[in-house]
Amino acid sequence: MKYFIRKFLILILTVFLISLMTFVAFHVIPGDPARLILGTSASEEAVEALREKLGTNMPLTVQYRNWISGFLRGDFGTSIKYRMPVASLMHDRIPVTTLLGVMSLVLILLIGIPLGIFSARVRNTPGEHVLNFINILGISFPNFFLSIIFIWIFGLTLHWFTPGRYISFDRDWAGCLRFMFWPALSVAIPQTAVLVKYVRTAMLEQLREDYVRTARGKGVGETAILYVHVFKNAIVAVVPLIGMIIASVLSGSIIIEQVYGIPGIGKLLISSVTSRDFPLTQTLVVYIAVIIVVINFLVDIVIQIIDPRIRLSDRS
Amino acid sequence: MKETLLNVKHLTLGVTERDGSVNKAVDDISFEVRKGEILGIVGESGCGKSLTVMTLMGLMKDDVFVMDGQILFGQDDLVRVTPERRRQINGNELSIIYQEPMTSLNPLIKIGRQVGEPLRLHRKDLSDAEIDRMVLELLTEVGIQNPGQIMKSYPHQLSGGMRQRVMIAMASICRPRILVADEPTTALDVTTQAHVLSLLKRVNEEFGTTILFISHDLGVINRICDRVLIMYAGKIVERGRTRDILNHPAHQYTKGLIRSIPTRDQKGKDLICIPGRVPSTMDPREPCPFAPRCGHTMEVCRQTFPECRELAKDHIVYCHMFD
Repeated sequence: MKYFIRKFLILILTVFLISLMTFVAFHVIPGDPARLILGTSASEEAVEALREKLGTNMPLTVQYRNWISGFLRGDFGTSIKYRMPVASLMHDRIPVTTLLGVMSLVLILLIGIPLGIFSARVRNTPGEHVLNFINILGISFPNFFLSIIFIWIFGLTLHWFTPGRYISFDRDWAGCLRFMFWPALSVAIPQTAVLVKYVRTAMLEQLREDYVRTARGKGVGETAILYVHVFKNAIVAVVPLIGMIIASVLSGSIIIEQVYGIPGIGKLLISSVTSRDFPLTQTLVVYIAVIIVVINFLVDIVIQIIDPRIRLSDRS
Repeated sequence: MKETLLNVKHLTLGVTERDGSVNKAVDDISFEVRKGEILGIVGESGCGKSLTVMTLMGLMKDDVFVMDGQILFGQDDLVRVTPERRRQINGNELSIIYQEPMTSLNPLIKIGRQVGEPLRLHRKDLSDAEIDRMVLELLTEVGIQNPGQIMKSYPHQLSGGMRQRVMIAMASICRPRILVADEPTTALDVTTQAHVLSLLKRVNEEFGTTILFISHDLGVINRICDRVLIMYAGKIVERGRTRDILNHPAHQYTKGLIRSIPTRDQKGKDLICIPGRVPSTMDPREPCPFAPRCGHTMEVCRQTFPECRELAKDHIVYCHMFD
């Protein structure tokens, strides 16, 4: 328990440091948002008035304090580009990206883990080479390329979905899932291939352990050896990778959202950066950082639940 | 004479070397295991004793294969059983404990579940509660102090000696006909060794389990085995009742092994050893593989492997000195 509390405090501290670094980064890079918004022809008075409005004329420490205290109250500031509260922009985008992320994740885990185990099972057979070949293809295809192929074949040729026309979940959930399946699959394929490779390697490594021989000596069948004895040991080595995959799918794929025209976090991030919309960009960066930090925290906990030896080594 | 439980006939094992060539690691050995006995197999590392019992269990590594011979056990020839039949036999009629109790248990599965697994596989009629009760009982019998708590523990929470007791419980829970013990005390400290040996002896006496005991330590063999096979470089060179072998060793290799046991009156003197080492499977071998280290080598030793000679009842040696 003490361990978790300590981990949690570290988590809070990490998030705080990330917010500080993000803030500093956006305020030391040259360029004045007020000047940028109004253009070079604006009068000095007008620019100064906007600075006053944005609060960028105040000392950095005051600005940071204001931002953080707003943050804690759920007020993330106002987007310069959209002239809307950042919170409401995020509120619209997060569910979209999360849905895409969860769908991708389901595909990745549902295909990746069984296929990884299966490819450990077919070791030293011709099937191994076939799987390895497919795997290398999966890892090497960039996901934007897959997206273009999917749009071309399943969108433009077969008309299974209409490319570029995002359907919101609230309006038509079935249509939404039908549309989102393709971007989710585009995100999933390369990640799945990586996961298969990791699961396979971890399984093969565990299969060489003595306890596997013990299980065979007891008369445990090959399937039960893989699923009952080896899998639990192998998955410990794969959980950190799964954590990274979760973090990456939840923070939104800039490319996939762009290619399919999905109004999610990734797309919002691109437009906020290109328009120097610092309140929005800052918030998005912190959002993504929090996802990564929290997932890492959860990975630690999950590993300890699976492997009791790790709990012990921490106590000593 | 007691009933024969297991009969190994002309077993020859091949090893595929790294360069693809095939060499014999065990060369035409025959022996029988009699019901109720503790049979020892002794020899230095690399003489083929572990390979032999691993073949018995069907647990050979990928580079080892049976070139010839049979292992008759009940109605089955263990060399040729189907994988399904092998799964029925292993853990149920034949079971094994290993040299490394630290790594032989699955680190992420609780002890109770691991010990109960053979029952779960081979006695499908038992309920989980019955299995748990039997595991608890058996753990108590193998000398575990707080079996209820140990059942809920993971292997890393146990000492080496405890783990070997757990292994013994696991290997004997289905009351197998033969328990193979592959150097079960080698990795343990001396006091723990003694406990594990007396436990195996009790398993033999109380459960009537026949034990095939592998060791390189004649002292350990002397304490537990009824009969013993001496193996050298893939051949059986001598076999007989343990006290006959220890009191009247016939083969020069056996004599060398006995001389190498350190005794009190040798205190301060150099330790005695057999000069040379066991040839690897890659090395060329003399017809009598011990010839290069023997000291009594004759011309004939480099021409043929000696015939079997029965020196006394149940005491057999393969050596040209008795021709």
